[in-house]
Amino acid sequence: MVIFLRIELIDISKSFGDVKALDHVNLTINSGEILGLLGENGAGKSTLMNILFGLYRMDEGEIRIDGRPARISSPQDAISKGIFMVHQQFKLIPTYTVLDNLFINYVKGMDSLKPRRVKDEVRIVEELMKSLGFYLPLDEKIGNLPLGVQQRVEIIKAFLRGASIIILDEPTTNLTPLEVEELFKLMRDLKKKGIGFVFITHKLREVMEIADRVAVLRKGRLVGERRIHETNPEELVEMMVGQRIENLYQFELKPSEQRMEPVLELRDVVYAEKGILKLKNISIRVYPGEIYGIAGIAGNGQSELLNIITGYLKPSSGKIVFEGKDITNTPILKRIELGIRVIYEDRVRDGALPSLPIFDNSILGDHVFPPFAKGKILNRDEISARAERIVRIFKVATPSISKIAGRLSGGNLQKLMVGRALDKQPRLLVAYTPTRGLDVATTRFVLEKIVEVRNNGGAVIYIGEDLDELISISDRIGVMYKGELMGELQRKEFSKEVIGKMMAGYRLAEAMSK
Amino acid sequence: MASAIESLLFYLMVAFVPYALASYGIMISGRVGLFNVSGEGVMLLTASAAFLTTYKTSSYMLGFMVGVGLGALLGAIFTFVSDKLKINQFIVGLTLFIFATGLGGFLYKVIVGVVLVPPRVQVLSPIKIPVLSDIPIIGPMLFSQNILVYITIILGLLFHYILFKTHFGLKLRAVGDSPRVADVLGVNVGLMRYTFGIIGSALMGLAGAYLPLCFTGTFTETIVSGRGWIAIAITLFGRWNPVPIIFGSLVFSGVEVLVYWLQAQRVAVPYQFLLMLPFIVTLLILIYTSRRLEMPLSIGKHYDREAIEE
Amino acid sequence: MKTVLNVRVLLYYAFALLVAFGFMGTLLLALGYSPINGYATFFKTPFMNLRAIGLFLVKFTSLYLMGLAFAVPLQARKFNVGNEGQFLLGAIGAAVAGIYFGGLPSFVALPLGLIMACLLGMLWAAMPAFMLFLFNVNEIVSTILFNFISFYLVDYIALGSLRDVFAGHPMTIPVSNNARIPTIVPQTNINAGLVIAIIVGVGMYIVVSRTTYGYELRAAGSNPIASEKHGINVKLLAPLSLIMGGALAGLAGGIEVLGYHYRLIEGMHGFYSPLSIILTLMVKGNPLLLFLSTFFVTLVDVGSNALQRTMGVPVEISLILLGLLMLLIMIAEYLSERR
Repeated sequence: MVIFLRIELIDISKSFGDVKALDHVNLTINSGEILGLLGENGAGKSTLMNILFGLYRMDEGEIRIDGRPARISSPQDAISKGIFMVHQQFKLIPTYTVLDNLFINYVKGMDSLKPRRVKDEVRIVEELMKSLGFYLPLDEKIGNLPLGVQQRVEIIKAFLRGASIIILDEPTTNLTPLEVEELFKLMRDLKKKGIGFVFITHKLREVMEIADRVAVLRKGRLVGERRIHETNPEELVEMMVGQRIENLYQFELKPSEQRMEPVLELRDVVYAEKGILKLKNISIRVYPGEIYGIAGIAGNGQSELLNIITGYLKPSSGKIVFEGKDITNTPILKRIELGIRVIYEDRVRDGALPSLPIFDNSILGDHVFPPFAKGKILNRDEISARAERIVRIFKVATPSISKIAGRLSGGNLQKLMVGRALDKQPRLLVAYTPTRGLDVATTRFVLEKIVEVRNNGGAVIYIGEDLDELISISDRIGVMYKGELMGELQRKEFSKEVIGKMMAGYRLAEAMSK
Repeated sequence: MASAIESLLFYLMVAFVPYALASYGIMISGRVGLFNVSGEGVMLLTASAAFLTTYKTSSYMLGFMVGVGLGALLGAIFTFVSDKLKINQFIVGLTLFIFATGLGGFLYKVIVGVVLVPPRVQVLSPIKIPVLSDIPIIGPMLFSQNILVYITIILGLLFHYILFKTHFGLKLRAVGDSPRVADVLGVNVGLMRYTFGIIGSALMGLAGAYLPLCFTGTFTETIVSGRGWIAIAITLFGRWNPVPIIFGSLVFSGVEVLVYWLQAQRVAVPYQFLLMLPFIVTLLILIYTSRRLEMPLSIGKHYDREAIEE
Repeated sequence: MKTVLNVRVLLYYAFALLVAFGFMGTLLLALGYSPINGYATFFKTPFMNLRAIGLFLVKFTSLYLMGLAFAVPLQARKFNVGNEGQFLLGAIGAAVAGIYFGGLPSFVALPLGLIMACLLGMLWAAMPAFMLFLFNVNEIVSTILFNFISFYLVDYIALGSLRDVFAGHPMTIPVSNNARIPTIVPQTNINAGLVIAIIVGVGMYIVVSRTTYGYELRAAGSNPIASEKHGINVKLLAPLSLIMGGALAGLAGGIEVLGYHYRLIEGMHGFYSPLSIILTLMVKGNPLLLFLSTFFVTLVDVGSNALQRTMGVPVEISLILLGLLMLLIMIAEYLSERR
């Protein structure tokens, strides 16, 4: 049933603007095999696979399938050749049912104008699900389903279209450890049936566990390829990171002083949206000179927590106390004035003014306060000075501060956003995955800056998805699961295993005892 | 009395067509993600061009073809500028509205000139459906109408069938709700947008051509009088679904006929206030609609395949 | 590097202008008019004599303020297509005040007329603004609907108890002398309204680019979500900008009534609204550059009227020319951004 494919990517190059994303990459992909595509954020893994899937156009290079040159200029071409890609952000329409999502563009040509036979469609999918060994509620809207289930919808979509090579882009990011296990089991089963996988990830452990072969990309170049039993994690790290950045995750945390009054205290904060509880009785204290890490799978209440602290959302009940003052009903700008700074998870949506120049972007949130505003009048010199300072200290690559922010590359925009939050020493910094999408050196730099905030006596709440990062810089870590705090660990108690279990819904005591 | 009601109901259907056709046009463009607000201008241009064509050639077919063709051309420009050049769709729509309004008035003045008695064409004669058209009241209303009335109703049902009962409709809606999802599944997003951007505007063109050829028999600069804008309200009211759009259009042709009737009754309200009525009703409907507003999820947004999503 | 780019952009703009005027010449030729005569009429008439210049400046004043009325909300990405209705309401306010309160001394009657104009313009914008604020009703559709209502309102007033029964066209009786805006150049229509427009324009430039209010408007227009998360009240700002636009359009109507027509005339808005939209979009709503684009568009408007008078070319040619030019500018910008 499954057609055996051998795909060769030959000398693929691709640039985005001035940035070389891929530089003469060669790679072979086979069905019946799991190929791990390993590399750091921004190494070019997704770009390479998006080229194979026809979504991106390559500048140079060639794709061969079973030895013959193949022209793939759109996903349509890729799908017809048996290739399917499941993106990190699932390509599903939340307001459509599972069934509708599965069948978009399934029937083509004149046939697509005939009445849909929903019963037949259900039968086809049910048979498929039976052979794969899981079940999906076909009439349910996608938006109501957990991400793990949505991923299966994507996999069925691939099968429905007769894929023999399935590309999974960072498939474990939003899954609980249990869901990851189930995914790996499914992949192994399917491999036996002749399906080939490309497993894009930056997580070593997972590659070692599931892949047969691994290819490592670094800064757009293929660094090497190994059979999995011929390599070891140490070698792969070396390949991923290049010449070792010494102590990537080691920071000097100055010993905190005696516990004083907390900078921020959340007391029994509850938040409900449309009748659904998003935060359940959260109580947290964060002290000056401390980094409080928050671990958890994305979507377990972290965004709501952040927005409650900034004042964008109002808690349904509970209290927020900042330096001894109740700020539960204090508006956003007032909180900014008090020294609460934020680095948002989605820099473009929540942080940037894409059609305005860098200097306007550099004061968003501070625009009503001196020295940037005197009464209602803006002080252009002070604004320019701040913009210049951020550009210089945070190494934002731009010809001038009047460049439109939307034309900056993603990494540079991120640096601008981080710089804006840190330009003035915050009393409290709330940072949500501020290193996402940054290269190793910049990641290190940003983390250093955040540690600096701590060492200068500021309080930091660091919401992270990368456990290594969290463990390296946090003084304490709280773990969130379904809007609840499952417990807090002190720095000396940090254990990836325990935190991982708590992320899957175990309370601290349970996680420790198991 | 009965014949008065018959005549009002007859005109209810005659006045219904331009609203419905223009709304279909907005609806179907919107369903592939294009919010085209140029309708008022497109209708004025096509009303003018269709009238002039039929006036000079006596061919209704030719008149309608010119109307639809010009509508299609403007739709192609709209889609090109907003989709390819990635300019805000409202800005493109307003620009085309202005351009087409100018061109419509210009053509008429150049060809007819400023005259005391404006030239006329016979409005397209009704097609009587045997037997059914003899039923009192609904006979004249539904079965003794010009061909466009029939076509408009059938078109609405056809759109409903295609959008919600076929795979093609699923694909079409997906383009407007999430072009990226559609693209990843191999849908040619650009082609769909051009096709339905053009068809949508062509429908507005048909609505424009209808006005002089089937309704007024003559062209004036106020012939469209807000129908292109009201159609947007009807589309919002119908939540971009064809069948509710049919009902919404009937409401507005009802108001139009009501205003006409009230004027004929010589009610003691200054006529200016009667003529305001359709616009006030539209505003009220917009407020009512806002409570359960639904839009195609990606309407008005550009789609760039290689853009990094967040 | 930067200057090279700017030269390129200017070249693209020049090219757009060239194509648009080339199209106009071709159109004239195709219709049997002489393009040379056309161009000559087009560019010479506005500056033929002092009277012509006066008329030019009257139109310039109205178009500039109308453009500003579109430009201010545009900062917050709101499209005040209703500046036409707001203009007319301003004209009504000025005319009614100028007739009823004309007995008051000039230093009361004139400001009163202008204030009435601003207030009624604001009121007319306030209704769609409230609909936006409370019900999130799209402002393009709602403000346009208010335009239609305003046409009938003007008709009602111009044919009502204030009607000038000796005039053929619907219009009111003139406003009293005390309520009129003084002319600043004798023997012309050049009046102090021009000065008011320039002061207001510079003021608006300062508001938009140098105050926190302007900053918040621009931020809200660029990214409403990010703005809201940083404490900007987007929900309130956008409607507020529409109301400000209404005051500006109303002022334009008031100045035109009290400084030029001295009465309310049906149809006095002409093509002001479409022309002002185009001239604002051309410069992306920058209040200073707006002076330049208004100058150009006034030229086109006056030129087109002259073409109609002397050669019989329909005045709509101005809309065709400017609509086409706007499309060409969009293409030019796309090309210049792509390098």
